[in-house]
Formats: sequence, structure tokens, C-alpha cells
Amino acid sequence: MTFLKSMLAAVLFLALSGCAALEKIEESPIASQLITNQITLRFIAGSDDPVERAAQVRDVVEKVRGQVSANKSFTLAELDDAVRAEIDWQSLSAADQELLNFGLNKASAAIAELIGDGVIDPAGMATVATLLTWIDQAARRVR
Amino acid sequence: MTVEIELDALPAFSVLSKEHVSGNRWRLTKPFFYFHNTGITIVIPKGFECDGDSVPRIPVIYAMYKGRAIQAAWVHDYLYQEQRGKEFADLMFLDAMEDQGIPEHIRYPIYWGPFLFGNSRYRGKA
Repeated sequence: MTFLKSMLAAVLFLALSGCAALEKIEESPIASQLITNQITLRFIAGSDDPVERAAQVRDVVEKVRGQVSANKSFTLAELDDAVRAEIDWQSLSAADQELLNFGLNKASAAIAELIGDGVIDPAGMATVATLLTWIDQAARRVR
Repeated sequence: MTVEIELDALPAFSVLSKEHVSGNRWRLTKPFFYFHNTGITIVIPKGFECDGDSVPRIPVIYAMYKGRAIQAAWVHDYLYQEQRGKEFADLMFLDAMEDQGIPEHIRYPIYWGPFLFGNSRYRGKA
């Protein structure tokens, strides 16, 4: 359960990290996809069992996708708080903790600049869904 | 505390976990990842087999170049097998050697081997 929580947090982090490249998505979607792809694969590669971690990432992506498609509205601050609360920091290596902190800070700043502090609108939700698809596609490559 | 991380500054390769099969052949016991600085990531699946860096068995040449480009050789062999284009495979091989820290005077001669003479091997993997 603890692991699942940290996985959920990690996937949300990855989605948010991808959001850090939102400014470039319209002008350069391929670059944004490559960044999301590489962050996802670096997270998977860091595991002792990359195949298992990839499968877990895909499972959690499915769960998050379900929540996004359910159209539950939330603000950026609520999303940020929820992600941080889900992180089981003790189970992560120092390097993973640094990576998560870095990603969350960057992502929050980037999204705030784009959409402000209000409720994430349908366009923002669609972008999150796209990023989840990219994460899933990256994880599928690990076998 | 804010920590800045540059993706390019992270290691270009994951840990290479392999087991000996026979002769020069080795098999991956975990997927192997190569993170190229363009954002492209090569993912080589667990179970893939490779015979390492192929260097002609000419004494001085063999001693100079054999065993230098281990990680890069896995990437190169995999891309040849996947038939993603010989030029692409050879260039990724060259970049992977650079990411391994192999100096120019070593990596270019190693690169020229498959670049000049790798056509039949590339076609043979199809």
C-alpha cells in the first residue's frame, strides 16, 4: 500500500513534470513528449526490477486516468498538496527525493504561470490526459 | 531547499546486468537503458543477447580497442537487430561511446569499423 502510494505520487509527479514543458507543447510537442518519455524511463530504470516497476507505472496511470476522465475538479494547490501528502519519502533514496522535489517545484511553478491558481479547466485536464498517455507509452517499452 | 537537476547531467546509461551465455555471447538479465542527449531513449529488453564489441583479432588493434565500448556495443547491436536504419545505429554508437567517456582517437576508429564495413552485418540482422 505504501509502495502504491509512492507510485501514485511518482506518476502524478511525472505528469506534472511533463506539465513543466507545457509552454512548449504547442510549439514543440515532440520535444515535450521526449522529455516526459525520458523522465518516465529514468524513474523506471532506477528500480532494481524495471519490468515490474514499468507494470506498476502503467497500472497507476490507468487509475489516475480514471480520475481525470471522471472530471473531478481541483485546483493546482489542491493537486500539489495531494501529491506531496501521498509521497512516502522514507521509502525513497536521497536521489529520488531530490528528483521528486525538483519536479514538483518546477511543475507547480510552470502550471501556475500557465493557468493561475484556479480550478484546472477542461483544456488543462486534456493536457494531463495526454501526458498520462505519453507516460504509459514509455512504460510499455520496458519488457 | 530548491535543488536544480539537469537531465543531461544524469548518467547516460542504466546499470548493465548481464550473464554469460557462451563464447563471446552475453544476455541481459535486466532491461538496459541508454539516455541520449536529444531526449531519445533506447530501451533494450531483458533477454537480449550480444557478442560485445567486435574488434578484428589483429594483435595490436585488438589490444587497443577491445573491451572499450561495452555499453555502446549493446546499443549498436540492438539497433542493428531492430533495423532502425544503419546510419542511425552507427551514429548512436558513436554518441554512446562519447557518453562512455571514450576519447576521440579511440572512438572514431571503433566507429569506422561498422560505418565502413557493417553493411552486410546490418542486412544479416534483418
